[in-house]
Amino acid sequence: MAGCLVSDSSEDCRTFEAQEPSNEGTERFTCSICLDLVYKPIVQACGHIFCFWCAFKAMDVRKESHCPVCRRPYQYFPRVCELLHFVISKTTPVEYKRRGDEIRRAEEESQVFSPHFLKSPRQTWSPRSYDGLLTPREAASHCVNTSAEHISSADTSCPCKENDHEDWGDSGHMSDKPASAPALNSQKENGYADKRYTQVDSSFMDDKLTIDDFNCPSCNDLLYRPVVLNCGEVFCKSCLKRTTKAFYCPSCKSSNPGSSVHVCLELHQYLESAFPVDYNRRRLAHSAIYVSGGDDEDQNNESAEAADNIISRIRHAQVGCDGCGMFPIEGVRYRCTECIEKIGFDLCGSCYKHGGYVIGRFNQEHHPQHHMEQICPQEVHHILNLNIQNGFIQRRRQQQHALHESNDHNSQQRNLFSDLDDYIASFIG
Amino acid sequence: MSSSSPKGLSRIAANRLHKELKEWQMNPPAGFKHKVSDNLQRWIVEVNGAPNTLYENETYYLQVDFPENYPMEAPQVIFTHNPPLHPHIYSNGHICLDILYDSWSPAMTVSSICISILSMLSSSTEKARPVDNDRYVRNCRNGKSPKETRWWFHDDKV
Ligand SMILES: [Zn+2]
Ligand SMILES: [Zn+2]
Ligand SMILES: [Zn+2]
Ligand SMILES: [Zn+2]
Ligand SMILES: [Zn+2]
Ligand SMILES: [Zn+2]
Repeated sequence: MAGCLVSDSSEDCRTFEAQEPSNEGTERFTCSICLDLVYKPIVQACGHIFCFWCAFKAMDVRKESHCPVCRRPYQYFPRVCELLHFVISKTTPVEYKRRGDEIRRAEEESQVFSPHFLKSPRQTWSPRSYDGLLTPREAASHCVNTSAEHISSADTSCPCKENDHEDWGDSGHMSDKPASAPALNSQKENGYADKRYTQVDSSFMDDKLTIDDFNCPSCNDLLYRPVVLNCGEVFCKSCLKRTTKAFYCPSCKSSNPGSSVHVCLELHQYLESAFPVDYNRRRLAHSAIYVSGGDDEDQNNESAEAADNIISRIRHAQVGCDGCGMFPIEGVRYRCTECIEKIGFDLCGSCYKHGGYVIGRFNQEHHPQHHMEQICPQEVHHILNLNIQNGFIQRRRQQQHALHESNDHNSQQRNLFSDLDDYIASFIG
Repeated sequence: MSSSSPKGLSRIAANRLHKELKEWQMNPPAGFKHKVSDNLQRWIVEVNGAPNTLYENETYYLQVDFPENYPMEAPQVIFTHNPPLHPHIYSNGHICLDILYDSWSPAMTVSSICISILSMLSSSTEKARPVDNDRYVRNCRNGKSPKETRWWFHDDKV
């Protein structure tokens, strides 16, 4: 993914007038960047919540970013939190629909799309169900595979999986594709597909969220002090093994950068008010186990990472990793030569090495068989020029100069050149 | 609300400014008045010095200009007319306040800027120009924006 591609064009005021808020209360889940209802929520490691686009645009394209609210530094663009996406679309459906329409118009202008269907083969829930506004429970009923099975056996014939792939490949104009929906939820699928971009089917609004929608995949109980990982999945804070370095999501096994995770207070408050009795039960159980109460202190020595290696510090301005979300990419970068989406598809060195099925953070149709090429960051040349101005390059020039005078030094010349090439190669891995 | 299109503001910026304006009208920061105009992209804000401070009973004007990609980028905030005498305010109206430059965050609002500026005024113990005022103002003669300045921020006590 590459930054700075999206510029919103100005628009006349009719749009604003058309946007009179409905009478749904929207005090909750407000994005502090656009001051509107959060749309496609992104939860940063610090626990603060923003819209997908707001979070993306607020990131520094050249260096480490800072949370607009708490200023904690971060360098990864998280995936959309589907659980919150689902919660907000259920609690304020009319407003959420308005936001969706608004964002979609902007995306169509820029031709860069946020993930329309938040799906991946590894998800427990059929992500299609989100756009169909099924509850995770409903979706789970037609997909009996657990997440773990999803990861290990991407080829098993779960009905939602095939479907996922199909839609995942669609770049945002899915409205005319309901035919392949599995029979089990075809009724809702079709109903929604037709009206997807026109109006919200009122039957979805009647669906109530239940406590089962908020199960922690790890302890299989109501989420308590929820933490949203970089992959967008949600766990109880206490269910995550605390390590000093990056750790892996218990469910999708993707790495979660940074050691510190913070409770998403918005979701915490929502759960507290939506399920007061159960949440309190969880609180009591929790305080019985964690007597020390040291649940929230985060001694993170993230900054202590001694990465003095020049390569690892080279940054690809404006380009992010679609695997782990690192933005901008530091170190080696790979770019897909086959993805046609404007946002592009890029991986950092470790995500490239890790291989496997990586889904873009936008709506790219990347496939593992796509050809990826290594990109040498511009800064490499820059740093090379700076660092070895008096070294190899200059000597090379002298040699070239000398070459005009005498051809006897050809062999020496070649050695020197291969030295230089090795040196450059060492920068770009 | 103005019906003239604010050319040059992105949709996000315009949406957000409408929200800020609405919030301001319902809940203005104490000591400030927004001068109603058609121009969403430039706000003129009247500042009234807080009681029991050096600037009590004095009135100043802030000019707030919003960039196209506000709030990702900070607005340009300067005092117009007669800027208050303050060790961090230059005679050309430029303000040395970190949140207007390096420390800007898209979660800040005009309202929060105003509150910071007022607290900066209120905590002042002397009415004086910054020591480098003349040099700085000379450097800015060609209409340089304060946002082009490389500020370094001394202390936040004053
Ligand atoms: Zn937002
Ligand atoms: Zn934060
Ligand atoms: Zn748990
Ligand atoms: Zn995960
Ligand atoms: Zn990566
Ligand atoms: Zn690709």
